[in-house]
Amino acid sequence: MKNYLGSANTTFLRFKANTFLVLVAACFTLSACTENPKDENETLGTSTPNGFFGNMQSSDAFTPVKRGNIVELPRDHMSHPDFQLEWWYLTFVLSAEDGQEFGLQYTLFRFNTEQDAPSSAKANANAKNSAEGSAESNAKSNYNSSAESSANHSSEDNRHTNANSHIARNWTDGQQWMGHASLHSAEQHYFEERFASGGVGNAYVNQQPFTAVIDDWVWKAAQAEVQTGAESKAMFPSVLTFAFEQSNAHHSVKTRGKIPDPTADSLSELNNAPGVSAVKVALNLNTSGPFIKQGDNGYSKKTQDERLRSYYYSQPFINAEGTLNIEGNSVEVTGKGWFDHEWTSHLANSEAMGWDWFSLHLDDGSKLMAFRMHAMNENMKNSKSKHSEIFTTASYIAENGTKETIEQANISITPTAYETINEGESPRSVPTAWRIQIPIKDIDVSISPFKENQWNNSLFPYYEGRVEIKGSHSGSGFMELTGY
Amino acid sequence: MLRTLLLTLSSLLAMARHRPWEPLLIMAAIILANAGLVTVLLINEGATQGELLQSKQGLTLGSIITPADSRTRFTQSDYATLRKQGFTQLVAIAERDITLSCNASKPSTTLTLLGVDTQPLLGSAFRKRGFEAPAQNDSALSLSYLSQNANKFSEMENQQTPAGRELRSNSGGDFAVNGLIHPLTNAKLACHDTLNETNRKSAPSPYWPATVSAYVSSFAPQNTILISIDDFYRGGVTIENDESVKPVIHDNAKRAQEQQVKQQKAYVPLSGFIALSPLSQQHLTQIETLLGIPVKQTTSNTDNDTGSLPDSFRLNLWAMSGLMGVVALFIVLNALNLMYRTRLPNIIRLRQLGISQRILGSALFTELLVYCVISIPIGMFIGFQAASWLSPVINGTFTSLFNAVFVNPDVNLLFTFGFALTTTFISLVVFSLVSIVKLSNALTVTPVKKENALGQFAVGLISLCALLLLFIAEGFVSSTASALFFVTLLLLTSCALILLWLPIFSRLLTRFVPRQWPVFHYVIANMHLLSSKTRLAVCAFFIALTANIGMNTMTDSFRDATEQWLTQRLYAPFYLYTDAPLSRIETLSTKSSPPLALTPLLKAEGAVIGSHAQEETHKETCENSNSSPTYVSISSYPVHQNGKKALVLDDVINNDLNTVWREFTEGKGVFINQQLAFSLNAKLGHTLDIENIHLRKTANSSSSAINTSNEAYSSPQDKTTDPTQGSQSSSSNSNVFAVTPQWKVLGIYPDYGNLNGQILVPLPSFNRNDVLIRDQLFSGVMAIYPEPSIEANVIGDNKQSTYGKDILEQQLKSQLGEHREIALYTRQALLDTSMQTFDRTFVLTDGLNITTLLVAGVAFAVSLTVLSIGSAAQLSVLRALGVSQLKVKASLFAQYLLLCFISALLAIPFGVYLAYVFIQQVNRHAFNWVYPLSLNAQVILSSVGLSLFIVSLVLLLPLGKLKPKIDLRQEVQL
Repeated sequence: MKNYLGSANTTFLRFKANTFLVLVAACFTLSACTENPKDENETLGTSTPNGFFGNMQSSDAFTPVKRGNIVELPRDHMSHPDFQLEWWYLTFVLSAEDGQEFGLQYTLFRFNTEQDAPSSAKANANAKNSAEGSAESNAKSNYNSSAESSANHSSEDNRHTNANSHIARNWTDGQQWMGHASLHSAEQHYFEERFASGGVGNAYVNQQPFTAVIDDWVWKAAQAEVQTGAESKAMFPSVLTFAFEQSNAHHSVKTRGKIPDPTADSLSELNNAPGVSAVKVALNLNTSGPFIKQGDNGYSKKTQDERLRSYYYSQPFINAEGTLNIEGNSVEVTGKGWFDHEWTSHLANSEAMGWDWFSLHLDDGSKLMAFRMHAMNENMKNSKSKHSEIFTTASYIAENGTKETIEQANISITPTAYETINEGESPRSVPTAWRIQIPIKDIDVSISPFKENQWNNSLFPYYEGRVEIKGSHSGSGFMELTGY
Repeated sequence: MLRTLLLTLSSLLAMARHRPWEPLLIMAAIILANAGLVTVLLINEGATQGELLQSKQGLTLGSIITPADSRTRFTQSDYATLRKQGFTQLVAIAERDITLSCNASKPSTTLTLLGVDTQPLLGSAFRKRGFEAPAQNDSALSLSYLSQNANKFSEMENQQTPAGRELRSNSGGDFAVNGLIHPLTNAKLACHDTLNETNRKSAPSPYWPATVSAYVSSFAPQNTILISIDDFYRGGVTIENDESVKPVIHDNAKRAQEQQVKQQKAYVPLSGFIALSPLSQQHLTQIETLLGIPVKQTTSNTDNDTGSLPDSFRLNLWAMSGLMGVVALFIVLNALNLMYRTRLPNIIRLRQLGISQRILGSALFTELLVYCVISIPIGMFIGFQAASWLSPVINGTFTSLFNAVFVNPDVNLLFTFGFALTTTFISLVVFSLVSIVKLSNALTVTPVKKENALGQFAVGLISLCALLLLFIAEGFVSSTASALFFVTLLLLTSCALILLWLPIFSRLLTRFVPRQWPVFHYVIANMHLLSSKTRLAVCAFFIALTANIGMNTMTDSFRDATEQWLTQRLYAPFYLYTDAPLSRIETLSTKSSPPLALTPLLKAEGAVIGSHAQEETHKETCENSNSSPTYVSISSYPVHQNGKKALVLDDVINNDLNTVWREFTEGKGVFINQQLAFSLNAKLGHTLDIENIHLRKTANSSSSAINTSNEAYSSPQDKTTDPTQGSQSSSSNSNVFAVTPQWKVLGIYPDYGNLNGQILVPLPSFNRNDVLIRDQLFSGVMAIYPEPSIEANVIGDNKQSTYGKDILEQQLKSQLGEHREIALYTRQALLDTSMQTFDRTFVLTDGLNITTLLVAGVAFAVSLTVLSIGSAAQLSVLRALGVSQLKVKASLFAQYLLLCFISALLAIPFGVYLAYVFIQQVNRHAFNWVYPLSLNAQVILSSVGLSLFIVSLVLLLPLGKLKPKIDLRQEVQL
């Protein structure tokens, strides 16, 4: 496991690309890529993430992201199972009445494990299909039709014979779900990661009402029936409830209970679950602005040449209020939330090496989404040097909800300070303080972490934490750094 | 300087070449000692690791939730419902049997294919707390294999992964599956690489065209291939019972495929949910409400029934290896003595050539080092070989009887070598110094030694004192360590005594041998002379033989005791092992065609906090108040006549079995096993203070009952005469006992191989009314015997009972259902299996016994060679007198054999005493049980005979070489 985590550490990127399964395999073969991060820093004058999404090429088997296809809501709140990966990402900047500040994250990831079946299995499948004609054209026509009706997809029967392998799956539908829950208080960090198979019934994203579920972590829209055109009502208002992390307080009971108490059921001493979680979250979510389709109507390019791209929309105007119960102590909190939904078949790729991502709530009511994508292109792969191509972009969202895409030339995102993270096998240097300059918007802010070590030590670890904004604007938000 | 050293060394080595016998012996001794040590080390290490392995059997640690009614099954949506309600510690599992075969020649093996929902296990909650720390890395890595959806192995294998095993399904290998296999199970499989679906008539084999890459991991339970549930339910294996095949048919080819799939469909329901942490009653109720069906929780307690035999086995091994080491040292000592003695003239010449003492010394040590370096690797290699040769045997022995695991350990080779080299070399140096000093003393002083023989009276007095001290010392033995120390003391004392007595005996013999037979008389007289010079060899032989006799007698007594005990205890002609609930089996007796009587074995658990004497006679209580309670299992015992016959009791109140039996059947007392009696220091007639009587951990939680007996807190009077208590308890549904018996110790019975305390309670005392509780109490073992009326026809007629077994098996199967695990054994089969396992366990002891004796023989042979140099002059005289060469050799042979014979005679009483100490002290303190010492003349004589035979064989070697004449040109006068 150590080896495995060690190499995996360098591999995880935000959306974790392909199933982590493939990543594991990938990181073994590609571990050579991780060498000499210092060289890169010198030549680029900046920190370059030394990771990658995975070894796998974007498979033709998955539905591609096309510029012409417009993101439509509420239809596209749904899961898009024919795309390789997808995520629903909620982050919150919360404050309690007594002045305590919190950073909260709830994320649901979906991976299509079906179509990245191993070459041998695929060969089999292809052999099968080739009897009737090109496997690819078959697949593509499938996906186009399914993309159109993607809204219905999740309600479709779980147990389908998959297109890629003729061996029926009777337990899962070939999808894999991963949930992340994280809470940062000033002193504590609670984090839990969960996995589930799709089609079993304990992890899904459903419509009417919108529900995003993994086990007992539930995000559910209040409105059961969605009227046509009532775009925003489909997802908000909604209720988010989840409880995570084993409570520490409970362990003490265990150790104390060595001498069996004849009057008490000893089993109940050991475990109280459900109900032993350290953190219980119950938030009511509402919005004060529209959904924002990032990029070109939701078509978001991640590199200049658009070979890395995704569908991407956000809801940056979430108002959250509710209760955090931390180790038995309830705190009433209010704050702002940010929702991202993104799906793609193009990021599970060794070319995608990681990114630095910001979702910022500025104090004037405007919002800023900005990222720096680290990618590798064909030339770089072939050449010995491991320079990565950096693509920077941003969306400036005014208080009234109008969005403006900031092109690479007009924005500069530079790390200003590094933090050493000592989780995992070897310490890693992560840029946790940044300067973001967008002259055309008169924005020049410095970003500093809410606290140290906001590291999610998940199977594929990454930095995800609350940040504070100072400079031309102030405010707070979230920052995600992957590939370190 | 270095040149001189090298020259000296080469001349020393040349001497060794000239007389290769002694260096070879030294090397042989080193090889032997190292081989023995390494073998024992490896075997013990393997056993330890095996135990560790078993204790961290990842997945089976938790408890399993199943529907209380065996006919209903959980569905996938049940699973989703529970997880969504926060029961995230539940993990769905499904299982079916598969057969592995290689080719026609080897028998196929049936394993369980276990599908586990691996997804939840990947989560951080599991990774952090999930399982025991040492297993964590292992399990996480293992899981990553499982969830790896397929053929990424070319890459994975670059990592240092445990060796995998590729299994191809016989219905094709169309999709790749990663699986885990327990190391032990993997070791059992030979070339099995074809995975067949089990061909049962009832269920056609499903379409499951998988290629399983099974990785070795202790995370998997034994006899199981663990795969992800996703892979489990593929192809024709479905979780849905209905036959409606999905109409997702894309084309004709696919349709044909579907057709095929449909034909080979197999409905496999979920077996249950593993609870990674046990659930409380409250949670189970909650689950029952959520699912609308009653559920039960079963905890697998793999850890408690291992018993103490592996421990005794290990102790045995260590003792033997210790002996071997000691004896090997004797050899080295002898050989060095001999070698330096023969080299003395040359050494003197070297000194005369001006080689300093220092260089000479270092050359000698370097020579020893050379021997070490050559022979230690050989010894270690042999040790490794022996261990790996033995380990399959041990493997089988351990798994079948003791339910422990033995694996091939990986040991740091370099470290072991370094360690062995250092110890061996240091001990060699010490020994060479001893012999050098001895030699140089002999050279310089040359005193005219006067035989300082102690008078017989003095010897007798000393012996008496020594024995007396020994007996006194035995009284102080109170723990395992002190018992072992006492064994050492015993051996040393007996050694000293033998040295004292041997001259006396031989002198006595000399007196009795008439002078008419001059050669024979010479033999005896010379033997008397020899006896003082061959002390070391005699000691080695004596210790080896004593230990041998002691060990064999102990083993034999144990075997006798076990066999007798088993024979008596197994009273019914058939024993059924099953997982079916008691309530279903009990209906058998009425349904079966020849009327059968069934006696179930019910079990509960409790804690004994102490015992005290009967209050009626004396008021003072609590002779023994252990602060910590002793956990005991409470087993049922039938009250019918068969049961009475089968009862083996060591101790009975007033030695009146009939009265005791009546009291027992009336619930006026219980029987306890020796282990409990020893640990509590409980005597007959004492009353036990028992509290916290509850169902075993397998407890069905919907009825997890706790019957806190008030006895522990009430006054003694209440305890013995409280009839209300029983009725009170029985009024409650959740009680183990219908009528709580009185905890008066009526008798103490032997319970070999059990480490824990046990109490026998009359069967009728257990709860009779509540079906659920009875099912929980039921241990899965059931004695089946014909109704007493027709009993006479069946019992004792072996033919008929085997015939009956088939019928019975069929009846059981038809009534309990095919899916139930049923194992029906005849009494004889159980007995045979037990005794076979028993014998296999001690095979190793025999091997070590022989080795020890062999080593002792070698010691003798060496000392013979040494002495033959000394007695060369006498032998020449004999030859000159006209005694034939053969006769001279025969006389020498007879001398040594006589010496051996006398020490063997002396070894017998000590050996028996040693066996007694082993049983009554070592076993008593290490395992809390004893058994009667049975002296078997055959065993003792065979030990003696074997050892004499071995020694005589070994003696033949130097004797054959011996030339009883002196070549004066070679002789160097010293």
